[in-house]
Amino acid sequence: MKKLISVLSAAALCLAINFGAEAQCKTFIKNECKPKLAPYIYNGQMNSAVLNQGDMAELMLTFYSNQDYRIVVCSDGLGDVTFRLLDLQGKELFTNADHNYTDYWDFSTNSTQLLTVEVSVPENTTDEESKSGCVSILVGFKEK
Amino acid sequence: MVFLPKTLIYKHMKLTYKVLPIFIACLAVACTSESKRLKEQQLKSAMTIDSSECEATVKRIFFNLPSPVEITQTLLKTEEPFNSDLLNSADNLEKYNTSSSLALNFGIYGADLCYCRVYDQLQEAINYLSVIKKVTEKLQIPEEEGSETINRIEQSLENRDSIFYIISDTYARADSYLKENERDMTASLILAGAWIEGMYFATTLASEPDAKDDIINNIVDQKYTVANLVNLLNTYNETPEVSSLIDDFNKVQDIYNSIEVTYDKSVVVNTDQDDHVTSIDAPVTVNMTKEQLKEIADLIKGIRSKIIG
Repeated sequence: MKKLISVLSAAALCLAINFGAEAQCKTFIKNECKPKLAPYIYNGQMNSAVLNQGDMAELMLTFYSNQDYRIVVCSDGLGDVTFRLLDLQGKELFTNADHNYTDYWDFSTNSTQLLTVEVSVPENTTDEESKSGCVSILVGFKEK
Repeated sequence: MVFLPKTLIYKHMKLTYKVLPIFIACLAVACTSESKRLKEQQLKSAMTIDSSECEATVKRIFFNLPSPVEITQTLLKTEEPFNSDLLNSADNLEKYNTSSSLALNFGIYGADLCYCRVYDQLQEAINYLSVIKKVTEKLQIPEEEGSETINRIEQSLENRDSIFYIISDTYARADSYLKENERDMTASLILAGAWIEGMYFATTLASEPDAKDDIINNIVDQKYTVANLVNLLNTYNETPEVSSLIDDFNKVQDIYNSIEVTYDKSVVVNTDQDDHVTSIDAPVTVNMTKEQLKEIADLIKGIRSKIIG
């Protein structure tokens, strides 16, 4: 009976954490990330996930030649998250690692192209338990 | 050690047996949604990773499309006169009763609203606001995520810049709500609808004898967005309505893939640290023939006709 109660309590706790993490992610994005897009117009698409240390995420996005863009990469407690901009051939066009791991950058192109925003969460290099956290990639645009 | 009375133990066990199925059901839902998400992630990862070079696992891949605001800003030039015949009639709303048709037309009406605003057609814009409100209700998007934002648009209708921010916010809230509630397919179809409508405007205008090069170049630029659109919708290809749409978009993509594209020189990148901006210089020459443009225009018109009914 005691064991059953423990199992049920653990299940309830896991459920709460699951729903809580997602809700916290949304709140975090709304309060911490979206304001960084201003004065660009948000493209309206929520690109967010709960990632572990060492994980990667990618966003495939068309950058139009008649628009300027802002990419905001927000993370919650995961250290220096790297984001890079790559062309279709995988050539690195930008990395925030060269700019003190800034969480946003603006881009402009003279020809429309499909580019990839690649986000990497740093590996766990300590003896502590691996962490997970909310990571979001937000896109803003404005006419040139 | 504490010994509980037998009656209390019995009551405790009875409660546990009633509650246990609920916990198991909740756990199953959480696990199902998570396993579904993981399956989706694995599928997307399998589609794009070059295993010979990749050292880390890409856990999540997102494909973004232009929003109704971005697609109309990208494709439209106001040198051409306003043409209300291009718009999807508000009266057609009563035809849309499935989630898919509502989602696609939510996107279409959003592009129509932006089109009206670009041309400062305030009365038409108000009509489309009303339609969009009804669509969000039919899609069961709660008022605070949908029509409440629309009220803000009504109050700010005369300020064009504010309007575009608020329209973007409306679609962003709907997108966020739908994804949180595992209605990702609905969210994707909204964007597909907006893209189709923007392309319909552009290809119709490009078919005019005095069509400007700008609008034709903007149509050519959609080559990459079509690829993203197909990738995005392929996640839901088991749904018959989406499967049919994917077949249609594949035909559009085939035309785009046949367009001759020449990269004039190597990509040059200039980064300004103080201004936090990187400029990408990648000049490209694209040769789209009149026949290719006509084929794209005909396909887009056909897809749109199926969607609006």
